[in-house]
Amino acid sequence: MLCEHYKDALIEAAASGAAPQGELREHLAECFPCREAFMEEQSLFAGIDSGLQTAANSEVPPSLFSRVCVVLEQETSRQAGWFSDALVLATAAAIVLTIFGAHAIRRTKDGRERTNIAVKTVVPPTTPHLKQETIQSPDPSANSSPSTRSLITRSSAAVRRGDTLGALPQVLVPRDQDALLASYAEQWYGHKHAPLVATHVANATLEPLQVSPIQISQLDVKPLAGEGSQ
Amino acid sequence: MREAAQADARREFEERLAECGPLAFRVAHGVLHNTADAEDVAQEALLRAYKSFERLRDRNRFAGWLVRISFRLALDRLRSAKRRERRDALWSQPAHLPPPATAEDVAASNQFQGHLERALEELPDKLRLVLLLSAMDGYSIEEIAGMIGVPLGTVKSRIFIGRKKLAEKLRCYANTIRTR
Repeated sequence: MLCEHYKDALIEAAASGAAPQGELREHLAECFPCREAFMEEQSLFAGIDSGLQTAANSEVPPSLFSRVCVVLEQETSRQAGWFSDALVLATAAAIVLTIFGAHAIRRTKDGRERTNIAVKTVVPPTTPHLKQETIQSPDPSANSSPSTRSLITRSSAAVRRGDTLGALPQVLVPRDQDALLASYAEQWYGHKHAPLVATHVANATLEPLQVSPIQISQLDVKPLAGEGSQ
Repeated sequence: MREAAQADARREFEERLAECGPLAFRVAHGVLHNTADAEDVAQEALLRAYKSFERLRDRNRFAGWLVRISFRLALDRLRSAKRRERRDALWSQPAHLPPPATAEDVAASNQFQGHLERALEELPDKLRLVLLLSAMDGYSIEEIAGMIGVPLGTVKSRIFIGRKKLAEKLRCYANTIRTR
């Protein structure tokens, strides 16, 4: 029987650390070279285990704990510092937001008060009447002429403009100029909604506009006085 | 309130540090074979563990968690050192050590230890970690299985395979197995 046959079994037995059993045990008893090889193999594994123990159980340097404690202390203070910094920043941000929020609310309130004044003065008294009239007509396009229809359409547009008056751009003016602006707005609005007034005279025929020619007097050209003109 | 929680976590961590600090160092040393490097790695591993300690749900798994961090950091350092070594090797002659004569002589010598450490580096990470942990004093195979989160049978087979692979690598130096 070849000893090569026992090679793997021999290595397995040496690796497991257990005593050889059965056929291997009998072979080792009668084969000196295999017994010697088995002992050397056991010696190799013993050397490996010893080397592993040496590698794995190295002495821990006493400086490790002091180093780690210092690092942990730094980390703790860094974390605490970060937390307090974050707290301070959050507080500052909250204060700033509160100030800006309060300021914005106050501005909005002031703006509303001013707008209310402006709207009260700007809205012409004819608007509700027009709106009511437009709504009351069941079908304006059914029993009216084209001119009337266009007037009604424009009236509706005007009414819509009146509804969305609050969405118009707001102008902030000093308090002492409120009345002045209001009167100006009233004049402007009255002029702008002049066609609305025409809804009352829807059937009236419109005359072509007569414009008289511009009269320009004869120009009197005179030479400039002084020597520089020459 | 937060400071109190931090103080509690710190206290608990320091209690575990006494037990697990050496473990982190030894795992790192088993990979790096250098005390200064292993100390750096252990410190880094402990710091990382401390930073995430509050997030660790099962504190009983702390040792295994720390071992994995330490092992991973040590491997990273070893690989970067090897890269550096390869760069340096371009400018110098590699050292060839003559193999010792017998297994007993080899086991006794420092050269064998060097060969063993090199052979250990060539093992797969899973086998290497289990071999290192099993060789450490004070940890049973059951504890190692719990630490790295694998079944007991897996730990045993990894130890067996790891030792056999080491023997295969070191046999050429010892020339122990002779076939007829």
